[in-house]
Amino acid sequence: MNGTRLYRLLLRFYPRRFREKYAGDLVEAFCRQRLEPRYQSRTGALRFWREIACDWTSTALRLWTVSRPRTPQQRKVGFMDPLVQDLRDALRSIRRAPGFSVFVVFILAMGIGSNTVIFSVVRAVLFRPLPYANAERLVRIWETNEELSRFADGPSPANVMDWEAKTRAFAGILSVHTTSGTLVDDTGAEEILVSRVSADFFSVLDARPALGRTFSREEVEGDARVVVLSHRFWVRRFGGDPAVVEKTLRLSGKDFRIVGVMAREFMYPTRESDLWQPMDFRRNYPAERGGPPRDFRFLNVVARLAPGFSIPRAESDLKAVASGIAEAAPRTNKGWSARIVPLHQETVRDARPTLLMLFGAVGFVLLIACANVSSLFLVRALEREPQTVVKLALGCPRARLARQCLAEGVLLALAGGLAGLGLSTFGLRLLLAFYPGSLPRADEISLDGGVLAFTLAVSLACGIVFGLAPAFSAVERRLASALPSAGSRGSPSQRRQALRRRLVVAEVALAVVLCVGAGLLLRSFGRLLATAPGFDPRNLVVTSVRLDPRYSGDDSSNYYSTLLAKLEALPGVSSAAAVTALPLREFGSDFDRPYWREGARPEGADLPEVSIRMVTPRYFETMRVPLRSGRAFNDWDRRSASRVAIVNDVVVRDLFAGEDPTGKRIVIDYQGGAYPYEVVGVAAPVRFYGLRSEPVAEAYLPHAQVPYLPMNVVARTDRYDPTLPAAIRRVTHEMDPAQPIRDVTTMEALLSDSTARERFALALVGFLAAVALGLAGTGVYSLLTYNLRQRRHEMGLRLALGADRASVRRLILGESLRLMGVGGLLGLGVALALGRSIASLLFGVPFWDPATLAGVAVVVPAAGLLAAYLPARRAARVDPVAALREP
Amino acid sequence: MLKRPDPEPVRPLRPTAFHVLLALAGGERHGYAIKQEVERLTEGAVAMGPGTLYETLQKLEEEELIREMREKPEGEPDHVQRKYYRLTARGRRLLESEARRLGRIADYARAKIEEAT
Repeated sequence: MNGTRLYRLLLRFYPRRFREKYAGDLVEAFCRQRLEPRYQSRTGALRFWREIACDWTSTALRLWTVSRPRTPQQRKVGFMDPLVQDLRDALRSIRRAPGFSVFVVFILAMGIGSNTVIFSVVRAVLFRPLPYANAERLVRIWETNEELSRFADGPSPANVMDWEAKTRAFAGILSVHTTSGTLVDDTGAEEILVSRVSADFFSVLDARPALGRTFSREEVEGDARVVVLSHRFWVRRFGGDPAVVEKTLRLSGKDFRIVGVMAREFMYPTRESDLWQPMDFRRNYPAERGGPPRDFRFLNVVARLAPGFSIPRAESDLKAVASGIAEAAPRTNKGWSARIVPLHQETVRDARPTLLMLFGAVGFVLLIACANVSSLFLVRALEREPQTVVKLALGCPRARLARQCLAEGVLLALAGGLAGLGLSTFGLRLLLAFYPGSLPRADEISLDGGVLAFTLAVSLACGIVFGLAPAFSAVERRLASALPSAGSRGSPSQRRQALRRRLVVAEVALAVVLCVGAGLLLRSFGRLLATAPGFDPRNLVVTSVRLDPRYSGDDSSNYYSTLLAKLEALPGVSSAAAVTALPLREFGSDFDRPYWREGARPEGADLPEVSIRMVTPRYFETMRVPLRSGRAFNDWDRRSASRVAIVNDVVVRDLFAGEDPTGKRIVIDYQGGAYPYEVVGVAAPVRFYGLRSEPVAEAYLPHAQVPYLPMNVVARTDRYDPTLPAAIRRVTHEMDPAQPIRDVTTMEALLSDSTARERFALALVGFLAAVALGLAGTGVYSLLTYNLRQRRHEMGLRLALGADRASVRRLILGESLRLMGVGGLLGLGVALALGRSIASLLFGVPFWDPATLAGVAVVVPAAGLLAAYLPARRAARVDPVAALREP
Repeated sequence: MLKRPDPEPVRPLRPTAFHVLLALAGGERHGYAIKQEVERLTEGAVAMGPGTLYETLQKLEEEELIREMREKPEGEPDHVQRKYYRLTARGRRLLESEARRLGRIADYARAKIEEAT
């Protein structure tokens, strides 16, 4: 819904006379105010809506409640008059009990506010279309191979070219491959993220530049030295200077002409993209070197469906083409097919389960809050019974009493909603600040019209829900049965008591569900932390260097051996090493190649693959990756010496059936040919992609034999030394100021980042579960307190007839336990039924984890007993004489 | 509309009402222009949302302090449906008396402050 329509909707709540006279002018003033410059930023838009909400509420209340002089003609009863009267009565009764009202508004504000926050995130991230024209027609394409259990491999260049030529399912296909480059100018060297894109990249996404132009087809096919900047990069590096177009920029040793700047919203493939550069497969992989590869699967491929093609139809078309390719090129493509996923689904895939779980959790908290408030309302209805009875006796229509209850509920709920909206602007900022790293589409989140409508709807629904319960009981109350009990200590209305009990049971059940969820996440997180990564992450300092291409061959290995020697000479550094790809760090070359045992090449195309890592001699020592057998690399493993490799346990298991491979040879198939390597050692496996991932087959090669330019550098220190990062920067700068280094961080920080999402979900759900438990406890407490005040007489009688105080206490505690038991069982049932939906978030714990269920089965009754203890003690302290003497 | 016998205000004007009257002292304006003028006069200290603006205008009109104009001012295209307001004689008197009252208060405040320093 757009803002103006929402405002028109809000106008309907004004009195008719006012609305009819001023609607057009109001909308005009609204629109013009919205266009004022101060409301144009994201926070400005928030402020605008907050101001509009305040303006609307205060004027609506004033217009409806302030009585104005009327002419005799206007004095006839209008359609809205009873409503105005009800609202006025409700306002009066809210004012009469300020403490109660504030408490109710507070509980609701928490419930509604948390829902508003999560809804605004869920709406922006999961529900709104991506910010591209006709985004629902965009799909991501993956290569799949069921036999190898590969379901999401980025397609290979040759396959993409064939698809483009042979299927009509797509209006356009784009390929993008993200690498990094070194930008050098007067201010120094910086490593930036470069997206290399195919000719159709911008046209498929239908993205227009904010400045200048995008690439022409000739430029892409001619491999022209041109770049388009991202908005972020343009602002960061050029201060948003519009004269940047046609300037040149020195990137990885070559000059590029800037032809355009993209709009702020455009950030494919990632939000971090700094610039886009043309990529043409034929130029990149010239025919004399074998042409574009088929079995090198690494591209990010997105297509726009052609008119008339649905996703299933396009997919079957694509699969047919893929099987044709597999027949024509069985060596590289046997068993490989393709699959299509909507781009939107792909973008939010990782965030989806967490967000939906949070949405469910805040929904539960809101339900509990509503149950709690309903329960409070019922208590108050009971307390007001004498007045109610008098009103009925004096001829007040029941419908009016009911309407008044409802009006009071709705008014309080709206106030709660408004307060919740205020809280949510703050909560949203908090959530985004703490959301680990990469919430997709975070820039698109805002409290807009849709979110306001949601909050309004939720508030109204809440108000009706808890206004209705007392409204019904106000109507249901019979004059005859009520009058005698008015003002006396007669037994409370059984039915109402039963309703309240049910509400408490519901609260307990919902709290149990949240506690089970939080318990499962806690156990799963504990398991995750207890998982050994395969190396010792303590006291490791990490950075990355991207050497520029003039350091080729031995220059590169010389550079790194000098750098490492200098690092090891720093005080506190015990050893240092470099590696192409470091666990948990997204930098450097991480690639897989087919491999086999020498003399035992399996038939067919589906060769197992091994991850290749180039390391310097002291890598294993520095990382403390244990060597099972054989030796580490040393300075003699140079280009002139024979080729050697160290493999991990997974390779030993897959290729050597568990026997020690030291001294045997493996063959690794590179693009240009297959080479044998003598295995000189076996290393323990490492959880390379995070604690949740299983170790993969890895082969380590000496960097001196296979020199790579970009390397991750790790240094082991005796203890944490805060001056070390600066020292490392100084050393690299001294060696060659033109080589940029990435951020200097620690291995422990990388490890903690890799579990950030789990920690975040755990903290939030844990907090919500605690709130839920607290609310449920309050519910039990208020129910029992009220109940016992009604039963003082009975307790006095029991004590007078010889019951001892302990047995009275037991009676009350038993009642609480019963409520807890019923609620707890219900809750466990619901938790088990819903458990499957969070199973994907759990690690090493089944959703029916007995320990968690048992823990919750202890914690929740314990909380119930705690809540019941005070009322029970009070009941047992009743002075029987005084209680019995009371009228 | 009930006639009030006394044209002088019995109580001080609400700040928004006062500023709206003040904004109209310079000549007729339409709703949003009034709001802009008020914000300019008060350097943004008095900011009115659309609801507050037209609620105030309605009230002032009911109290016959302002009046909606029958004809559009010159230069305004015909198709634009805007309400233009101007001060009534009563409104101008009230504005003057309110300004005098505020002036007296300001004089008094200045004297007090000087005394204190």
